[in-house]
This record gives sequence, structure tokens and C-alpha cells, in this order.
Amino acid sequence: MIKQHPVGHNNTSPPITTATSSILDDNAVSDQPSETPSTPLAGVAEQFATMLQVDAEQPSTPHVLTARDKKYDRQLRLWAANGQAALEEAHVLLLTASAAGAEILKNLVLPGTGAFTIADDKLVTEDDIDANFFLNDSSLGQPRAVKVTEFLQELNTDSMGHSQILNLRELDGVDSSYWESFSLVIAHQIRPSILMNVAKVLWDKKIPLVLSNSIGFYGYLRIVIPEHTVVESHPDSTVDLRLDCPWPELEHFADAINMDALDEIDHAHVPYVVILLKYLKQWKAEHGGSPPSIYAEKNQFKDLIRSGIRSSDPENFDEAIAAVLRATQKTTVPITSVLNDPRAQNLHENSTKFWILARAAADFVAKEGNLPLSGTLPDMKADSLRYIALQTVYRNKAVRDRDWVKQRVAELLSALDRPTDAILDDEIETFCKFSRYIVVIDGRSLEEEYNPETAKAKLILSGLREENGLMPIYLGFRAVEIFEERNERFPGSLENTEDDAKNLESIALEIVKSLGGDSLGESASQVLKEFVRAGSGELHNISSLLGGFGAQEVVKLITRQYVPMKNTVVFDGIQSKSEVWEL
Amino acid sequence: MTAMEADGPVRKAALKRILARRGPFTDEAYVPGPEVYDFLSGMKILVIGAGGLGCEILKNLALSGFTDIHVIDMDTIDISNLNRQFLFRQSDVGKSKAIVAAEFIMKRVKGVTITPYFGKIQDKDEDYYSQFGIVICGLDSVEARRWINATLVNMVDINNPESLKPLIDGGTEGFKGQSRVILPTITSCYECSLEMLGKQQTFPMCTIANTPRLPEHCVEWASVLEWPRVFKDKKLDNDNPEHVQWLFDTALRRSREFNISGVTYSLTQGVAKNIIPAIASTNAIIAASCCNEALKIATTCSPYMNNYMMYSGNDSIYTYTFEYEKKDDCPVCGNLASDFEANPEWTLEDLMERLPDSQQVRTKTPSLRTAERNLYLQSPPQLEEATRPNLSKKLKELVSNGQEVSITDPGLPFSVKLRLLY
Repeated sequence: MIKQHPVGHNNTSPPITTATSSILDDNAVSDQPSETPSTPLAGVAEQFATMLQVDAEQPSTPHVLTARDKKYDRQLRLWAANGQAALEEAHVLLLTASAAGAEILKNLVLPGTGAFTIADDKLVTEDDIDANFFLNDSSLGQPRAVKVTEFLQELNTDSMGHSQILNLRELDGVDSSYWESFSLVIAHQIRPSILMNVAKVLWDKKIPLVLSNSIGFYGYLRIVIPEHTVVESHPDSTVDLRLDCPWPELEHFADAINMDALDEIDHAHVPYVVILLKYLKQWKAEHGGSPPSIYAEKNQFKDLIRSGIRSSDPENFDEAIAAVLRATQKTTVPITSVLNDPRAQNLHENSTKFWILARAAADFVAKEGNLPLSGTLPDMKADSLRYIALQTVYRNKAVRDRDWVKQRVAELLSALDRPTDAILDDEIETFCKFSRYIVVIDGRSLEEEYNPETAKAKLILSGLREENGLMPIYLGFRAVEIFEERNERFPGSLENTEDDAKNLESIALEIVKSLGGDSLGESASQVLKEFVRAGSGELHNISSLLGGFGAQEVVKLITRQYVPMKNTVVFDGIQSKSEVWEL
Repeated sequence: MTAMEADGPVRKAALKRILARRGPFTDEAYVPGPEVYDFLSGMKILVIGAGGLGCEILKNLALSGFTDIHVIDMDTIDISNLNRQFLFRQSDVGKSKAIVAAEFIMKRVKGVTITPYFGKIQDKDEDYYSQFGIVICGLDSVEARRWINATLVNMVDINNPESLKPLIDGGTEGFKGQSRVILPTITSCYECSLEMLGKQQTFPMCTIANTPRLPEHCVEWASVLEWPRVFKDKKLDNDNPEHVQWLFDTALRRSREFNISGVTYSLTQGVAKNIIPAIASTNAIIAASCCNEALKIATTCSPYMNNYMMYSGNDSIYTYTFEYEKKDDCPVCGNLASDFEANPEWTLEDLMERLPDSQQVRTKTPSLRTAERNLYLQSPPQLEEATRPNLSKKLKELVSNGQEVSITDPGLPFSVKLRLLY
């Protein structure tokens, strides 16, 4: 079913090996020079021959995959070797060896997080065994931290497990230097009154803190971190074509292709980027230099492109027409607030790499009016020669932009008295490639959230009135915390639940009033009843789901890839919904 | 177990407490009490797939009060499973996933029986599937999902409520996934939502043969065109490192010929094997959602999902839960043919080339017939030969405007009906 194509190179590939020779035979890897494909387009490409120099890759030698590459293959395709290296250097601390905590760690040990420590001073009970897969009946009565660590350690020998017997009610007494050995701390179901000071110490040391809680069908996760920056945010696409503002080489490339002189087949293989550039130029010439802007003009412009179709297979023109809206949009700098941020503008001795790079990008924008080019060209209908030549035009511009940024970064580093190689070329390349999509998250502390003066009162109160919204669940977790602190037990843990329900409701009302509200609302009072129904009981499914949410966010924080949530998520296992707020 | 409960501590206390109390969102017909727990632990539940989702599902069910769990998986354990399939160790590589997973869970969780089957779902008949109360799928294959979905829909007998088996389906890809509840014939089924699947990454053959631009095109050239040309009778085995090495070398040479950069071993492997990235955390989220629904359906202690949750974790944490509506023209649970726009000038072969990518059809080896005649049959050989001349005929010679074409495929236990519109 292969369609014959007239511009074929079918016969140009050299005979590689015969059917009889073993594919392991070294001779099978032929080193014959490839023939130059000859097509009517060769002339066009010749003009760009000097550009067509692909990286001097060495002939392939049998590829040896390490056991590690094989084991982690499915995740390396997401966060690559640099993400994996960050994970392997990390040491994560879990406070409370609960089921949810163990599930978060499970999902961190499996992908090879370097080390983990579990701190807890409880002995294993039946309830623990029933909810936690990383305990069994033989663990009963033994230290929870030790047993959970042992079972988790079985999952992956690349991850080093440690356990510590630590009284979690006396965390304030822990020397503040203790925390410095950890890259991140996870705390499950620990009273805020106990956690508040620890949270402050971690905040000051810029160590991320992840809080989780799981009661009945409800789950809660909160990330506490003062600042988090992401370069590799993994947007769906990094395509940045600059059709509204082509640089001279790109214009030259488009001008060099004379559409009228092409035969039908070549005409049907002109990349749509070239088609758009040509018609935009024509349009601008006829419209006093301005591109199509209003809707009607864009439609006229599409008609203009359509009028150029010659072949019965106008896929490239269709692609051009489909790209008109994007092509006529002005290329902007979407991250100006990051570039203008005082942390970029006023660099100092402790400035992180991210802010030095952001400053260099800001200086680039000041000079050029645009961010460094990503250099990515999407696939499009085209013959190989012109596609690769066009791709090279984009890549060369990206390299020039990046070289300028490299130079600027070196200057900035020198001015800060740091070695000029303190930021690696790879890091600069990555930054330039993703510069349109960099992310800065300025977090909110636990103190800011819990203090009524600084709490997001409006957000919380309006959320409580939303139909089927999940804010009542957030309020429920807050009320349960206070209930537990006052009564030394969870609401609903006794046979008679009515008093607890009333009590919990009045606590929730106290919180609402402290935020300036006056009533709970029907939805909140129902959710509070559901909390009482569960007692403190952990349902394994909800803890396991939290284990997924939690580990995923920890991986994002540690690898500095993908975008973490800001900053609280609640899962409702009854409605099967989640909601995220910045609290 | 009952004896132990009488004398010793109550096990599964947290779960039993929730089941023993009515919640504010619980259906009015719910009768709380110990019977609910007994019903749950007596229910037979089937898990299809013991991979990334399957390991999680088995663990979650075992810790959610299910004690009679069955699991089917035809695969053996590979080293690349170990970054998420936590019931397997290095020493298990090569063994049956279903058997190793079952043994592991039974060893860890007391009082749970897991019955493994190392084989294909198609090996089992309706009698087998009718013994279960719920079926949960954690599969990476669209074909297997379509098969079990159609089988469960076909099993529904209006006069016998027991014949309706809720199907809970989970799927993941990288940081994204979905979970859903299917009540065969009542809610939308898997087939109703086939168009939700992302378009499969396929490259036009003429691009691969003549105008490669991407490293992926070079790998496709090596595997689809060069391998069969060079090794006429040897089947390409994408799990054989020697074969993948050959593909890599060949693709690399092709890429140099066209000045295409970016062909790496890892990319070659990814394209040739159609590797989908997979991580522990996403599997945990989707499997937990599936098992949470299973617990709610089995006990009715809280309302279950109606009926689809999409999940994405690349950017923040995002879920969207909605009701996917049943389709009248669903080939499995509907009764109407679906419309398909065709060009009367196409040959039958032109039409067939479009079917694998068509959202409604997606079959690789379709046989086509109308009410009057066989258009093209893949087998048996004598009928294939007899119908082959039709491939080069124009559609207008074979099918009239608005006529129904019935499409069957050995991979599907049902036929797709298309109404061709010119």
C-alpha cells in the first residue's frame, strides 16, 4: 500500500547488509558514504549547503544500555537524565509512618530517589496493618518507623532507607541543623500547632515541606515553599515561528524560493512557513505595511493563500491556512513580570542560577525586543531538503541568540565574582529553549494561611458557598485539627457521634467567623458530618491516591521540571473530584 | 476470621466504621451494618491487567475489604516494569505478572485469596465473566478494552439484573490518565468514547519512503520498509536488543543521508516499540480512583462516579469529572449505524487505508460487507482471493450513497456499521 512518490529517493540508500549476514556481524554496520539525493529542489538547497551540517555524530557502536537505563526507561522519557540525577541526589524525610506517608514514599523509592528517612515513635497497631501495605501481621507491636522503612527498602536497592525513633509531638526541641540533611520534608497528620515552628525553620532554610492528611473519603495535600522556579516546565509545544517579525536569514530563505517556477510536485512541498512568509509580505505591501489584523482581513488573507493552490494535494497550503491566526499574532514576551522582578534586576552574591539567567534574558529582550528563539520547527508537509534547510535557519538563529545570552551570563557571573562556568552551557541552552515558559512560584507560609489577618478569607468564604465545591472539605480538615488538639482524639471515634458532630460544627463556625464570615452553609455542615462518620479512619484508596498526588508534586519540586500546584489540593472521593487553591 | 474478631481486636475497623454509619451523601436505601462488610468480602471481583495499574489495583482491593480477587494478565515481567510495578523484583524478570502479583499480595495481606490466570482475556467465555460482581481494567491496550467492553455489554440480559457487570476502567500515559465507571447498556460504554483517544501517531507512508524530516521518520523507514526488505522471512522482534540495534544503525544512516539530527538509541526503541512513558505516581492516582469506585459500587456506602474523570498532573493537579453520554450510533451499545463521509471516486483500498486512523473504526485488518455482498474479506484465503479484485474498484461501483457497510475484525467481538455518505 505504499504510494509511489515521484520525488523519491527510494533507490538511494546503499545496500546495508544481506539477508544472510548476522545482524551482529561488525561488517554489517556499513560505513559507505551516502549518496547525495538528487531532486529538482537540490538547487534551492545548495544555497543553504553550508548550513546543512548536522552534528558530527560518530558511527554507532553497539549500544550498551545499563540495567539502570532499562529499569528507569519509562520515566527517563519524562524527566530525562538531569531530572533523574536530581532525584538520585535527594534525601526525603517523612514524619509519621502512616499509610498515606508510606504510599508517597513508595512512589518516590520506585523511581530511585537517593535516600529516605522515616521518623516516628509509635508502635505498629492492627489499624496500621489494615491500612498500610508496607506492614504485615509480623510487624505488630514493633516500631512503626523501622518496619515501614524495611518494607519500603525492598522495593528498590538504589534508594537508601533510614528510620528514626522521634517523638513527633516534640519537634520543636529538634536542633534546627537536623533539617539541613534533607532536601524535602513530608509530614502526615501532624497538628499545626506542633508543625508551625518546624514549618518556619524549613521556610527560612528554603526546604520544601509537603503536608498531607487523609480521613474517610477525603484527602488533603499542601506544599509549603517560599520560592520555586522552573525552567523545564514541559509545555505542549515550544514552537515559536516569528512569522510577524522574520529575521534577515529567514526572509532571505523565503525570498529565494520562486513558487511560480516550481513544478506541481515541488509546489506541493513548499513548507507552509515559507508560504505564509511570502503571502504576508505580499499582503503587507498591498496594505501599507500592516499585517491582517481584524477578523475579516484574516479571512481575506486565507482566501489569498487559497488562491495560490495549484496541486490536487494542497496539504501544505491547508497547513498554512490553518496557521493564519497564529502567524498574524504579534510575537510577545509573556514573562515580563519575571524579567522585571527585582530578583532578576538586582542580582547579589546569593542570587540563584535561575535569576542570573532571567536577568540575562531580560537584557536580551531589552536589546532585541524578543526572547531568545527556541529553534523548534514543527513537522510540516515538505520535501526533506527544504525542511532541513528551513530547520537550520531556525536553529542557527537559536544558536546565535543563545551565544549572546552565554556571553551575558559570563559577564553577570564575573560581576558577582563567581567563576564564569558556574552556569553550564547546557543549562543556558535549556533556559533559552524554554524561556517563554519559565515559571516562578512565590509560595505562602503556613503562618500566613492560618493567621486570620493574612488568610485568603475571601477565597475561602466564597468557596464555601459554591455548589458542590470542595472548600467545605478544606474547612473540615482545619476543624478536625482543632477538635483533635482540644480532645486528644478525632471526631466520630466514639460510638455516639452526635456530640462530636455539634462540637465539630461549632469549631468550623469559629474558623469561618475568624475570617469574617457568619455562617457555615448547608454544604459545609454535610461535609462535617461525613468527617464525623469516618472518625480518624484512613481509607486505603484515598491514602493511595494521596500517595500519587504527593509523590508527583515531590518529583516536580526535586527535579525542577513540570509545574507544581499552588499550593493546596483537596480530593473528594465521594464526588470523585479535586480542587486546587492558593491558600 | 470471625473467631479472631470475637476474641481479639476488630480488624478493618476504619472501613467497618464507615460501612456501619450512614453518611450525609449516602443513598436513602442504604442499610448500614456488618452485613455490608460481609457482602463486600464475599464478592468476586476481576482485575484485568497486572501491570502498572494492576499492581496498584490488587493492593488497593486487598486493603479495601475484597477477599476474593481474580486477575488475568498474559504478560511476563520485564526489567523496565520495575520503576512502578512494585510487586515485582529483579529476580522475577521473565515470570508471569499475574502469578507473581497474586502470590505477593497473598503473602502480605492476610485473609485475601487471589486467583491468577496467565493468559489472554479472549481465552475466557461468558460463563467465566458472569461469576464476577465487578470487573476492573488496568490495561494499556485499546483492543483488549474494546473486547471486554463488548463482551460485558453482550452479556446483559434485561430479565436478569445479575447479568449486568459494572466495568471500571483506568488508563495512564505519563502524568495524565483517566478513570471511569461503565454500567453496560445503562451508561456510555468504552466504545461510545473511542473518539476521546488521542489520534495515534502515524506517519504517511510517502513521507517515510520519500521525504523524511524527523528522526521518527528514519526509524519508521528502518522498521517498516528496510527490515522486511533485508530480512525477508525474519520477523522483527522489538524486544530483541540485536534487532533494535540494527534498526538504530539503519535509521542513523538514513538520517545522515538526509541531514536529520536526533536519531538516538532511546528514540529508536521508543518509536519501534511505541513506548508510552509511565510512572508510579500517575498509576497510583488512577488505580486508587478505580478502586474507590469499586468500593462504593460494591457497598453503596456512598454515591459512585457518573461517569468519567480525566486527570492531568503536568501543570498543577487537574481533574475534570463529567458524564460521558451514551451514543445511539455506538456499534456496541447503540443500534444505529454511524455516518462516514467518503468520496465515491475512492477505491475500496483507499477507504480501507483510512479505517485504521478513523475514530469510529480503528481496525488494522478489517473485512467489509454490505447486506448484499462481500466487499473484501481477509480470510479464508479463497474468499480473500475472490474479493481481492474489489480493492481496485471505485466505491461508487460497490456501495450506493447512504448504504450501510458492516466492518468486522478478528480483534473485535462485534461489527462496526458505517453509513457511507458521498
